[in-house]
Amino acid sequence: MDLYYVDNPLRDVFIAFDYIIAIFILQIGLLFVKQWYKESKKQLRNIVILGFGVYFILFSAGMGIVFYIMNHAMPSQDFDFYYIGSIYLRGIAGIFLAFLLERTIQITLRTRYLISVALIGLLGVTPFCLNTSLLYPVLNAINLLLISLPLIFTLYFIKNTVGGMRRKLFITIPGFLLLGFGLYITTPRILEVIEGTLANASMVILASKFLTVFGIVLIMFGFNGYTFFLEAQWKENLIWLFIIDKTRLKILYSKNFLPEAMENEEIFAGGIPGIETIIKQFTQSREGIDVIKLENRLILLSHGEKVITALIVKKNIQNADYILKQITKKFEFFFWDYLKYYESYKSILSQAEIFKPMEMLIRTLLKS
Amino acid sequence: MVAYPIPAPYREILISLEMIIVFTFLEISSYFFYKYWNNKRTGVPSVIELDWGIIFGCFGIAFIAYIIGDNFAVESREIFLTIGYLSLTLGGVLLFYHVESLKPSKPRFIFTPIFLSVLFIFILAYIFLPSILQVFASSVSFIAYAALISYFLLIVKRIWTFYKFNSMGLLLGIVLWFVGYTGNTDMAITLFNGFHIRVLGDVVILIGMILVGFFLNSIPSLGEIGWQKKLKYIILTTKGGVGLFIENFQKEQPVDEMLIAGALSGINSFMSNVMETNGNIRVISRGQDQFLLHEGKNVMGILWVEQELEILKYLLREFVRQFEEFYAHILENWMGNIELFKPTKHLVDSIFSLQKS
Repeated sequence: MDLYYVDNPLRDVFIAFDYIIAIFILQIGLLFVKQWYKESKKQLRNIVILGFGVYFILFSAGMGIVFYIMNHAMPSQDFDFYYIGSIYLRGIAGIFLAFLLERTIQITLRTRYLISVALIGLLGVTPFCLNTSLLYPVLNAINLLLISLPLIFTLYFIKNTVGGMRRKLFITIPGFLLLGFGLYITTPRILEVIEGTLANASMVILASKFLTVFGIVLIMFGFNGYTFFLEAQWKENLIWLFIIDKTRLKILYSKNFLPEAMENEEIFAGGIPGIETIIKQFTQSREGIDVIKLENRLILLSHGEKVITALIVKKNIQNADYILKQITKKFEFFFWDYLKYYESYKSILSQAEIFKPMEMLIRTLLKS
Repeated sequence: MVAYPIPAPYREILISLEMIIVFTFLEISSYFFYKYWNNKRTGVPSVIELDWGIIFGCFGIAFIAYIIGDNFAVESREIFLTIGYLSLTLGGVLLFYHVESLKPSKPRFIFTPIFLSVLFIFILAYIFLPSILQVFASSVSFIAYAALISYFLLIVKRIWTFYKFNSMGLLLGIVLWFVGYTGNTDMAITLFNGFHIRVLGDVVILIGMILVGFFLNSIPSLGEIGWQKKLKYIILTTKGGVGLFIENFQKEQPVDEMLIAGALSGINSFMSNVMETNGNIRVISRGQDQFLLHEGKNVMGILWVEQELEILKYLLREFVRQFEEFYAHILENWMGNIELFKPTKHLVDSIFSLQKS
């Protein structure tokens, strides 16, 4: 089997980059496995995180094999054996992830295991295509599916998150595209074309490798720092929402996200601003409380000019924090006149329906 | 005498290993800078993150210079070696200036002027006596290792009790990193008669890096290392809100101690009543003020801190447990005399290691 970049003065650098790419992909896998391990200790639903971890680990092993056989002389039949082996490793990774995702979020995906079955089918026909013209189309289809898999599901997570979290997840999209593009350029067929046709092939290859590493860094950055699967399911973590009039210590609006009611709603409404006042007094600060952590619940607080919004949740999730701030902002924006000229609207404000439009607003926010 | 460029078959493997090292160093460095910048935005910057960002970044730059000098620009090798040495020394200057400027006792600056002089000697040696450059670098490296190891020991000492296993792993990683770096020198290559020692050195550095990365990642936050600086007050109250003991760690913000004791205890009871099940407060978070609460059998401990850290929660639990154990008989029939709890000061000192801070 011919070696790649053999006449290229930057051959050693290219080889080094190949290993860096494989190691960095492995790191993404390990990050997910670590997250899965941490979350499983807290008994959180997290099998998809493990799926992502195993996917990236096997993917990196597969890529490592490809890079090794492309850069080291070996008989043609050995090359084929390892090449097919690497495809199978990556394929198994893909099937594992696709199956887990299709099983876990089947309500949203409605793919009915189509992706898993397609991958199994493609891997099944690969050995029979080895010395035929069908090999490259089949390989391209497998590679396309493999790189699309995490991309599609990242889009699903983006759809289910808000604010800063969504922005962070968005960063992974160019990351996946760069990774896919960079790996495509390193396939034997494309390398042959580049080296055979382009005068400045070295620079093109070097740039593609840099971009691949950059893409992986973007993916790592996008997925790091939070439990993205838990964040994607943040809506299930909401328990109660209270919008409290700071001055009159009254609940203006409340919503139960779970079918359990709080018996002491009014006492709670009066207590929260009271706690705020006490804490402000002895810390000698005007800043309000952000979070009160109880044994297995959290009270997230957001402070407007006239109202305090309290959201009781099961877990500390950044998405809920963002939504809470949005609710406070929008509530004060829409009902500002009532809040400012409370006395004039006193009779209207006693009617429970006055803040009913919040229902729609919250629904819209939760849908976003 | 070692001949450059690095010959085959070592060239390919050394370039691969050293580029992996470069990317790993730069990755870890960027991670720390990002964390520092992110924490600075949220108001709780940890200087350790900045320091470590500098160390890893400088090592990364030095390795880039070595790779180029040893493989691709042999005729200008001395320039690249000097760039590498300058990068490491500049890292030393920045790190120790940063660390020593925070020292309360005099003499504050010891390592900073040493590293600064080394920096100038490197520049002068490159201009006037390039032949001594490597000999000088080798001798200086031992001082640098000693300084850096003492720095890391100091850091690890602060979390030793709570993260013993992580601390050992971290230290081992750092030692391997330095040992591996020694295997990279021309002296080692001459002594062991070949580049195989450099390959081994690189592998050892990588193992060291894996250990450092793994064990640093296992510590919840690097802020844990600087936990002593985050302490503001410790307050002990009865469940009814009567203040038993209070210690002000920062001595700069006098507050109404009895008000805090009563208020926080009241808030806790209020929450327990309103939230019915599992209503006991664990943390009240408000910007840079965090109130950690822990309820014992008879008393409640409140730790007013700047950051919610796992070490601090553990210490608070320990404090309440030991207090209740020590005063078990008194607490059973306590008649309101708080003078009885004066010795708690020693318990605070021993648990929060105040003498060592």
